[in-house]
Amino acid sequence: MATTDPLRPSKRACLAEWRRRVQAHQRAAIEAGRERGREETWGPAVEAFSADPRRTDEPALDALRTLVRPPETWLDIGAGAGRYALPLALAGAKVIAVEPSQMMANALHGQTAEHGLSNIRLIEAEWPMADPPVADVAFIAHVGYGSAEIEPFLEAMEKSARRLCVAMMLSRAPSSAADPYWLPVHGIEREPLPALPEFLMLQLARRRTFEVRLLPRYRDIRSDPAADLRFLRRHLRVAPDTEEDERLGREYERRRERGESPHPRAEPVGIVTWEP
Amino acid sequence: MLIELLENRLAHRAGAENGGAPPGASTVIRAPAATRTASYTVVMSDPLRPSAAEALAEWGRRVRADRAQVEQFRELPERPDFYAPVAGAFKADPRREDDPALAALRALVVPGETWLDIGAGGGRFALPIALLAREVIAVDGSDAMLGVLRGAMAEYGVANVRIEQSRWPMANPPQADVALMANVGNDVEEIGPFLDVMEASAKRMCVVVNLMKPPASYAWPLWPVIHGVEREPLPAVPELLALLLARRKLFEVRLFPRKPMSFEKPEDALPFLRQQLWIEPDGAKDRKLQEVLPQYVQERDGRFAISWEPIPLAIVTWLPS
Repeated sequence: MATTDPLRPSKRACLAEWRRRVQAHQRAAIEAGRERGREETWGPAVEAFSADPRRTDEPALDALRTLVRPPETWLDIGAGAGRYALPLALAGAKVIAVEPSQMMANALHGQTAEHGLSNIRLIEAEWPMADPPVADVAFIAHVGYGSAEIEPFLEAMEKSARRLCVAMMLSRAPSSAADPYWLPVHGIEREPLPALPEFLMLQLARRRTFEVRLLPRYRDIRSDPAADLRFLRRHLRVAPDTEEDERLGREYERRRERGESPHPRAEPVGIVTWEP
Repeated sequence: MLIELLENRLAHRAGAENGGAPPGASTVIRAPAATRTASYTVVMSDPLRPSAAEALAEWGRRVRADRAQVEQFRELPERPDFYAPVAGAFKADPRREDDPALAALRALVVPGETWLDIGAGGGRFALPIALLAREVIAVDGSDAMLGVLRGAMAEYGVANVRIEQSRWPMANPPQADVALMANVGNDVEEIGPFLDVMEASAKRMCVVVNLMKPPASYAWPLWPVIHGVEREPLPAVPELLALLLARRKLFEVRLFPRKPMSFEKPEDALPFLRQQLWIEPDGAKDRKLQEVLPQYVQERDGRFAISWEPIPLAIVTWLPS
């Protein structure tokens, strides 16, 4: 319980609450016996994290492209399989992609080769890292929701940026669509991770002056139960054709009948920019 | 449970402080002198997601603290129409092309739309928007400001501005596609009903144009030396963003650099500072001000400013429902 000004919250109180939420979210997985290592977590997601770098169905990506001033350098922290690193490189930026997961990094390598791009350099490292590279723009996309220690993360990001810091974040954490399934499937409630609203409040507490754009994440929102179930199995760490999977399937159907979309593709994406 | 109790307590207190007055009524609450500058804090349930009740309570507290200081230290007499002496400065050519913030605002106008300009003043924004929109409904309470607005409409040949003389929130508020408030709201004690009615009046979008810090903040460093107290800061855009988050609204923000207020000679800052410190020329405090002024101005390229830190202008937009 923190004592602070609700219009100008203290940085310490916000950081403590951010840490509490991330740890509570993680604890649920541990208590459910579903804790996993990095490669187990991200390996199955590689496919979901790859996308056509020339795609035009993502308004948030279109807005991101307009921020590139070629031939400047962008540092993509937690680049994954290159969902944004590749489009940024195609938009004329030199990209330094930092990614700790071996499987993601391999996928990024493959994508870079497939599209014949030479202006992406990959660094396999956890962020914050020792001797970090410096770039014109430091960028995170859907990274940070799960960082218990968000302040050193953001400070290192700001130190590595000359012109601008850019954060792309969903109004609800990507995992939050799966959070309500933890109780029926694993018998444990899971608190959602912080996301865009909490990030904006944190930036106010950090006394940062920022711009925000809100955009739809996808142009077409189609219902795809097979994709929904893949997403839910991955987040709930459930294997197909198990007892848990059966519970998951029943809960999914129950929610579908009530018209609840398990995969809130309609949630807006925020692009937050601020000067380092 | 504890959180609910706290919220109820805060909501109850906010209501009590309003004295049961209708929204917008100018109830002046005079806090005892001892508590005027005491910065009390509330126990918050969640610093990352404060409740609307606690954010509104703090907003009201700041506005009252600002007003209490003015009442305590003012040497200048109260005027019935505060804006009368400066109303003329609020006129501007609606076809001006030198203002990037206005260009961004114009880009928000969809042809055929009706805009509601709350606190329209002399029409700095109402007139340029009227040139693009079907109609602008300009709401303002000040006779002097509306005089300037009528004059500007005639001078620049803009007819599609409908004037509603009223304070905000008003009874039977007009409906519009977009509701705008420009440089309005920082000193509104009951900002909750103000925003509620604004959102209820807007079909497509709510827009706020305001500086990141109140212009008066340039005079804040002088308060301790002239009045012996730190100035209570009025809320501005960062506090509005926190309030919107507390009201569970997401927003867009665009920033436009503004040159810091500067003067040709240090003494040219005196009229502004006297007004912001609420002191009469040639009184004891004014003599003190003139004495210390050189320590508080910084020269840069032959001009003088109290601070060279720029205060950007923000355009904030959000969906009303």
